[in-house]
Amino acid sequence: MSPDFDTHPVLLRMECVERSHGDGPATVHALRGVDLTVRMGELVAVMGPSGSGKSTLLNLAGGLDTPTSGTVSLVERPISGLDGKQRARLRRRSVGYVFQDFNLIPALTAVENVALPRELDGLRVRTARREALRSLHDVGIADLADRFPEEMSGGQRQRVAIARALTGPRRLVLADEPTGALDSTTGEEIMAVLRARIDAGAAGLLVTHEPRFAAWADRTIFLRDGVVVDATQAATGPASLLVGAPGDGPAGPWS
Amino acid sequence: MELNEDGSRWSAWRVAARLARRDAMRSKGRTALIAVLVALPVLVGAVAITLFASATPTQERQMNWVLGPSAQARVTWEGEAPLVQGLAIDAGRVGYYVPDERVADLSESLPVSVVEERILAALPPGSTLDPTWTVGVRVSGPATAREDIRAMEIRTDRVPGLVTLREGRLPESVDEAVVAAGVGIPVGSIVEVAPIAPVNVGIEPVQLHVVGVYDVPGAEAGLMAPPGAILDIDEVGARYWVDRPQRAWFVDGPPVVWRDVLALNEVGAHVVSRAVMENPPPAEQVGYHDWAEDELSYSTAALSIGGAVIAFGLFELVMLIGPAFAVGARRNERQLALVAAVGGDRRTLRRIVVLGGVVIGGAASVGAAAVGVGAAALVRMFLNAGYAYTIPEWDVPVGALLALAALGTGLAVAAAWAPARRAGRMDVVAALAQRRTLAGPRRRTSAAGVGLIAAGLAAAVAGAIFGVPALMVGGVVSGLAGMVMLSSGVLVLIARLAPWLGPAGRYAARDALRQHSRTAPALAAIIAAAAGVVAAGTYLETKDARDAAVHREAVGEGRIVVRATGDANPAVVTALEETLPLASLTEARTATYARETLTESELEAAGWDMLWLSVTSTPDPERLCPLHTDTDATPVDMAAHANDPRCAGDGANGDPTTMLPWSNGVPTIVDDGSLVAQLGLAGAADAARALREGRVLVRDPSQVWGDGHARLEVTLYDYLEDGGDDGRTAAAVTLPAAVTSLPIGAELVLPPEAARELGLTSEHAGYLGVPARPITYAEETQAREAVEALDAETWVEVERAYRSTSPYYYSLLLAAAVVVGAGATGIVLALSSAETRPDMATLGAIGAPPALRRRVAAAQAALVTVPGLVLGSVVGVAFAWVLVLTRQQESGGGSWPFAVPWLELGVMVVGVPLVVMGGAWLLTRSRLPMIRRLTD
Repeated sequence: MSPDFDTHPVLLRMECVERSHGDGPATVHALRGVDLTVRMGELVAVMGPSGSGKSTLLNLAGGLDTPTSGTVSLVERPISGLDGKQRARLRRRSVGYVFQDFNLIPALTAVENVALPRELDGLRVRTARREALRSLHDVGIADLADRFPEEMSGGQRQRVAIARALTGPRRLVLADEPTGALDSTTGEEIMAVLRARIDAGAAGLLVTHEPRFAAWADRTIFLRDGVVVDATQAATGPASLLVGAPGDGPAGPWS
Repeated sequence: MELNEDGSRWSAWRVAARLARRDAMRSKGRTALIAVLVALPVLVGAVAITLFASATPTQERQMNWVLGPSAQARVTWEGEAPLVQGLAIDAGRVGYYVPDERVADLSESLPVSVVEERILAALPPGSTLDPTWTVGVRVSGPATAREDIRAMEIRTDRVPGLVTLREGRLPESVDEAVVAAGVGIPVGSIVEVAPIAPVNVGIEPVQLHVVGVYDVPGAEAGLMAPPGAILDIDEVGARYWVDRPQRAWFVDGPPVVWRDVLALNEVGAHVVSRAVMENPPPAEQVGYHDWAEDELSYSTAALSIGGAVIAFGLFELVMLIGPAFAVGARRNERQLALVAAVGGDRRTLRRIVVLGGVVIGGAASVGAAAVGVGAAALVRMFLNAGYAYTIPEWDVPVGALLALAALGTGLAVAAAWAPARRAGRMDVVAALAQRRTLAGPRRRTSAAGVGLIAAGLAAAVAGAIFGVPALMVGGVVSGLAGMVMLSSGVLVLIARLAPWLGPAGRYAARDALRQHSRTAPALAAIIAAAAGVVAAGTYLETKDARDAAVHREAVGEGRIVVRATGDANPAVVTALEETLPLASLTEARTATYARETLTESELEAAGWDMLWLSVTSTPDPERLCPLHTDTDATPVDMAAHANDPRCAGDGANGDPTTMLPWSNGVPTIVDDGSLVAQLGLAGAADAARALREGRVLVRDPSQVWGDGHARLEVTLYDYLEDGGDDGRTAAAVTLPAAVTSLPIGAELVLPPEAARELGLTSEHAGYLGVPARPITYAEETQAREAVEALDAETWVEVERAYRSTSPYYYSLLLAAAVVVGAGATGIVLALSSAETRPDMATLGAIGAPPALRRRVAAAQAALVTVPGLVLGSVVGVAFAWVLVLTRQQESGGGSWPFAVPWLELGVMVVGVPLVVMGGAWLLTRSRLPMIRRLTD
């Protein structure tokens, strides 16, 4: 079932990326020499224990943070040399984040939340809204467009976040535990939506600590103490969960 | 991935504005706080400027009040002297001056027909005149007796154009009149009307039926009656009177242009002309400009003080609003971080916070301006219900209101500025992870604050010394900005004290620093308020000290001074004796010429009150300090005369700041010692003895020559003959003299025999009363009213010690300090309560007593008020010093001492924090929250 992505264009490329905080003896190395490539149509899961550097990886991928060394390229364009303004534009046009919770701006309706990056980019309100409605339709909640976040369920809010992450020209979703605050059924629904959107022409980097959600990915990388300790071509689909219990590291059923 | 570039640049603004608007709607409490602080000053300002604009009638409106709907002009004749008039109409007439007053005074006797001929000759052919006389009258009716009414004789058909009839009808015969509503005489009354003294001589009062009541816009006349109803102008005008009737004519016919106005000025008339108002001449053709037409000029000190007060006020508001935005931006940190995550850059984040200021400030300002206009309309309605035309017009100054609304919006934007900058600098990753991102205050900000305060003070001092108000105000503003920047540094210092404080104080000190974006503006607000209050208080104290220092008693404390003109009036003495507990009453007399010594022409001038007398005493050249006459004196000369007793003083017994109160006008008193003996001042007994011995009293020792005599000279100035240019020396006599230190001014006291030798006599000038016991203010007022009723020209006053009015102002200032202190602290506590809640829950969980919460609130209050007041006091004293410096510069020297009200200052620094802490203690709930909530 796993397609061959080698011929697909690269959306995210991280080469020898290091990220450390502080200096001297108190230095914390969040990431050490990480290499990673995400191609069009591909969903890559990142797993690892707390403090292994998963979120740092995601922040670097979207240009919210800058690496101490190494290069991060989006659509084959290195982002390390970009200033804050250029990186903000990159986030508006190339990547979208989905967080575990509090993804949406409470003061804006669902459709306004989705349209936000496009409007910030200078698109006319009507055009941005039309695009946003299409994105909401793609995630199956076009009828909730004018609801405020507090009027929606957790699952609906995550769908809005996914819609926003892929609205307009954006093709790369960076999802940080998107199912973490949801019950298991809703979590599965959200993963299905995410998978479907990526299959429809996008790519994704998914941070999770639950193997059953990682199983939706095309492959999984394992981080420990900031180092990629293993990578696997995952057997996709929830069915793989039946193979065996997930281990707490590389020594899982995939190794 | 082709990027979309077809967007308009306003989309990003629009989305930021939408976020700001929705945030404002969601945080109702915070929005209300900001809106109230912005709206209050805008509301007050809107009411004030709307009422001011409405109460100030336009020139066109004023012209119509003078001319009515049809007349071309109104010509008022002042006398035969040519005059020079202006254009601006104020209270029904234009300003003018008479270059040669003497002719004006002598030309009152022209019959009206001659005047009319002259006026008609100056007017364009075809003009017709319609006379109207105005005269001060006494109106006595069933329930009224008023002397302050101006009555106007005017053709009845002109009345409706000038006033609005409120009730009744217009007069139809010469025994009918209409009165202004304000006079308070109802329709149907019969009133007795007579010109007031001195015009009333030989004129019988007339009975008039009041047939109507009108609202008078121009406040010109209180009573209107047909021509001939009150006086015969030729008979009255033929006399010379001080309070003469005003002779004016409405002009109908062709337009009266500026050339005609100038011709009328030549015959002694000034004109309000419709044609000239509509088509005014160039300014250089107008010879008279009154102050209203010129630019307003104020003193440097007044401008500086006004500018500083406004700067302080605006600054206060910005600092009080600031914490609300700081807290709002902090609570919305996660939301702002999300905006950053979806592609908002720093500018977008800043925009959202600043637009919050625009949205709330704009809405509050526009709303307040609109409500202000409504309130002004109500106030106007209320005022006009009593006396219509108190505020005659309704003028909404849209431009000024918009500017005011912009200022209000600007306040909110200014308050949002610093939080917006911090939002732009925030750590997005930390905010997304909901880690608290509390950046400490920057050290270089505090250093810059100290620099700004120093620079501001220097600029203010320079502005004070060189009289540049802009520099002074700029200095004050930069000083205030410096204080804001320094306030965070002050919090750092306070936090260093934390280890030595109890748990509540420690928590409050650390929390104040951690939340410095919220605490610092409140601290700055208190610093500024204290600075303002202390500056004002110190200035008052200084002014008080100066006033007390220059206060000189003209007579002994408690003595009664009665000053009169004209002949002695026995009724005045009776009234004084009836109203005051008098031990004695001595007459005061001043020197005047004896008529038998005058020449014929001087006699005539005296009849016109145009003969002036001067009595001078020539100093002995031997006794004058050489330095006082030598303008080229070198330091060597000065050293040579260092021990010369002649040069010890300033040539007299100090600088006399008062004179004996009867010595105004003709400043030479004639007394045989009896008046001076009663003065109750040091040296009075010696002076009285000298007068009894027949010696003349002088102040300046150099005026007593080596032979113990003074050289006196009497000069008469005849203003009728030559305008007073050359005086005639009527007498030059040498008389025995004595020096006195009494405050008799620069002039003299003559014993009666000396006056006689000088060919002078004396006239009544008033009395000096010695009270049997101290006189109360009520008694003084009673005596004054009793005497004034007999003779308006007589003045009664009791000499009092210097009394300061400052205590009232101190109370007001202290109240202002309490209000700002409590307000700023209240805002801090209200905004911090949500943030301290989880910490309080933790403290509760580990067993803190419930009272801890109150103690924390009191400590938080103390931490902003105490340093705020102390620092503010220091800055305030410095500002006051600058103000006093300005005064010293303006008055040219050291007559302005510098005094600090230490007691009041101490009360403020100790009392205000106690009040505010007590309030915080009482208003804080003592129960600790037990459930810890982590959501935002």
